[in-house]
Amino acid sequence: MKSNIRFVNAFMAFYIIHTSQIGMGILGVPRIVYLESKKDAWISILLSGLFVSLITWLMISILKKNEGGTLFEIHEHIFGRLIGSIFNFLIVIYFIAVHYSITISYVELSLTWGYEGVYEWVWVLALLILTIYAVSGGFRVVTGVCFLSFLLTIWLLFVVYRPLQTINLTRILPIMTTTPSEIMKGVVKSSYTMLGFETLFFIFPFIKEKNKLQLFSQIAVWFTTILVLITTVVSILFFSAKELEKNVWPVVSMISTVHFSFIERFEFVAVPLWILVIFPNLCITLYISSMGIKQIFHIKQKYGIWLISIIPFICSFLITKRVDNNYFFDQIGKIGFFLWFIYPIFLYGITIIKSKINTRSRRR
Amino acid sequence: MTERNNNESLPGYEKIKSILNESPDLNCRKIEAGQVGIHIIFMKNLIKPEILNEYVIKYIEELSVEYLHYTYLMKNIPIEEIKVNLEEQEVISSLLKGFAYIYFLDEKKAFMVNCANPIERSIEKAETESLVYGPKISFTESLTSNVKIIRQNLNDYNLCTDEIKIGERAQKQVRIVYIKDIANDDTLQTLKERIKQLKTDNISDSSVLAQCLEDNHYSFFPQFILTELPDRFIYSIINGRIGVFIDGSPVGIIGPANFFSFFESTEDIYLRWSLSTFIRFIRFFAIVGSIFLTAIYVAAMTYHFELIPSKLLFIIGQSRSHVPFPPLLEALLLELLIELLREAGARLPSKVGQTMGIVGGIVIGQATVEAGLTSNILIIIVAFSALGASSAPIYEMGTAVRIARFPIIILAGVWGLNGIIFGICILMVHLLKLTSLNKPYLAPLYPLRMKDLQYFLIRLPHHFYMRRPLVNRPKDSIRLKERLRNITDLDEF
Repeated sequence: MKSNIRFVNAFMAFYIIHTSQIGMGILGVPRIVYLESKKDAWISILLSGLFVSLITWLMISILKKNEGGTLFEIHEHIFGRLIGSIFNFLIVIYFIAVHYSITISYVELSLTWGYEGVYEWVWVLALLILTIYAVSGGFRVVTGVCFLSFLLTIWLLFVVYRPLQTINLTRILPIMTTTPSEIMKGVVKSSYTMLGFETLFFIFPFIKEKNKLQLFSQIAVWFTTILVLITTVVSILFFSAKELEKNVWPVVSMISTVHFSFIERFEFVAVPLWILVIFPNLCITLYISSMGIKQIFHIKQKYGIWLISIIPFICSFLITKRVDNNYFFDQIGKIGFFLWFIYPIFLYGITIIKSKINTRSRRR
Repeated sequence: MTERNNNESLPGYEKIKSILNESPDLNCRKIEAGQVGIHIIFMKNLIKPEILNEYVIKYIEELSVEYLHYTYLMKNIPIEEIKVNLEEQEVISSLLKGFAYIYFLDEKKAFMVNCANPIERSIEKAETESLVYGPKISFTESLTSNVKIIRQNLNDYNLCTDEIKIGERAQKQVRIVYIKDIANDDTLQTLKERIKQLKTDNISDSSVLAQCLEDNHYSFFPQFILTELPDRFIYSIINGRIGVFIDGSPVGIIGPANFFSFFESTEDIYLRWSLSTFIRFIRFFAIVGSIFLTAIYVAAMTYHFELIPSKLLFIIGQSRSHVPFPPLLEALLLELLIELLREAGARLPSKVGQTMGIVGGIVIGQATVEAGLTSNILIIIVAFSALGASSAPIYEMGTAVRIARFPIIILAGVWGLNGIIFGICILMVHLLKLTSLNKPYLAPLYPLRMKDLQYFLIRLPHHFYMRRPLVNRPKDSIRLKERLRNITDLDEF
């Protein structure tokens, strides 16, 4: 059954996980975490990164215990076909929601920076067509998109040199002025940005050297954490408290201080370039959800892609206001937090119990 | 030699004449020596009369009568290539290739001798791919001489030149050239199967054959390298690729190709590494610039004035102040004009073509700016992108770039920078999806093979190339068994 799967190298897991973590979240994360844990936002990020790293380790052990299927297969394996399918369906809906949240938040950003007045559905449709085109190439192309978009956009990291020239160190000092509970709230709030590592659950069967996966996924997770940490710290140092609280996309505002001799306002380049950053996210979420549809309803994945893509397109007529969007992202962040930060722990427990029962029944 | 008793299937002169529709070229020389009657049938224009006179007719006439029979003559006729065990179909096709048909009336037996006189042009300098350095010789239209060139330069007994015949009506010979212990078997198998599956009545040129063999017929991008340079052909074959010749075409096909192989020229190997690497980077930038620069101009002029620094904006604004068109129209107009000039220059006789180029380039360019139809900044950009597209060493890649530019310019005109990024995404996904003979098109980059990047992205000094590029999956990957020079310590010799 699995003979026709095309494998990719283990180090590609780095690009897949990293690029699916980085997306729209990182543009707004400094503010969102700052609202909860103030000056110590960076501690929240670090804790969150630590947590993600632990969960990643847990995920790989779950996958190894279950002989390396996707999460969809694991669910069917553990809970049986019916209940497993219900679980899978929820996960598919989650991924479709994530897909839409990424799309609509990008569209919102793009409408703010230079494209006022364009209808939302135009951009959503364009992005959807791009994504369908990419995903219909299969997992190899999705991985390639992750890899190339990483290469094409990682240099954006170096634009922080400019805000670094006007930072104020006192804005982050003294350390530990917030209560632990506020810091933990910050951890929860940062989840929307850090999420994406859950792709590990679904790419596992495609990886060639499975024993190297742990290493590369840990590198990916920590690389993301460091990137988010850098942006958070720099934005806290760069903006005054009030500015940061009011700026929806502090990172974009920071980029707007950068200019070259041939480009006056760099953020007008950075915002379109951000399509390349979110493109892997879109591809991966669409790919995973179509994979789930295939698992549940046994229809071909290429039809699943089209079926799923209709949903974001319809949504683009309904959920478009800033307030709605904000609520939507918040809810997805929360669900994501419970689904991928908490749920794997339970799943790990269930797997262990299940395997023990199995070994006992085998002995008898 | 085993002989079949196939007297019935052998046609006589009358039969051949009727099959060949009473062709006036068909001649029959009747020789009668004693009791024996021999017919020598041939096509007048296709044979070399000297060979036929000297080695066939004269030879037969000088023989004494007792030797004049099929068995002796077939064994002793002083011509290198003869055909026996004939069938009617083969007789006709061989006649049309320039063989002479020697028919023994009494014995009702026959054989054919090769007196062909193929039209060949002499081997000349390469024209479409010109090199400053290195061998200048190029392939010709004759398959025999092409194989001869390859054999002469690549003296390896493992060099295979497998023959396949294609074309239902006008049959042509195709030769697949590869080195047996280097080329990958799967790739070879795929290529052979694809060639055998072709059921077309005629393949007019190797570029047509290449298009028929491609993985994706709808792509802008060429999936085989077409070259007229033997040294490039040999370089590719030695690195594990597979070459294809077709009769009557001066261009060899090389596959599997990847995107980056269209940017390497054999001259890169002949020149020093520093210059070659530099030139290769220039080519990449030229191609990228050629695709995107006009589009960026259109996007910036239509939507993103903020991008342009105020000093530059002032200059551009001044030059655009009289232009009545929107930037998209202006850019398309000028791009089409350049393409028109290029096309006219290519079609016209070379003496007139130069004049046309000057008239078109200078007069029209100057006049459009003075008339206020375009800005001179755009003229610079369009000229740059026209230059950039021609910097690809393989002509086909240049044409692909020329075409790929237009959709991106339109996207830029419609959606600004976002449109350009959409274009980049589509291009990226398309290149990722493409394969050439089932091998990934973006090969050393994705799937990433660090060791191959030294072949395709840069050029290092020769002693770094210990292994053949792995993207072609060669069976034998070792090129150098030892380093050219061992690393020595200070003051050691």
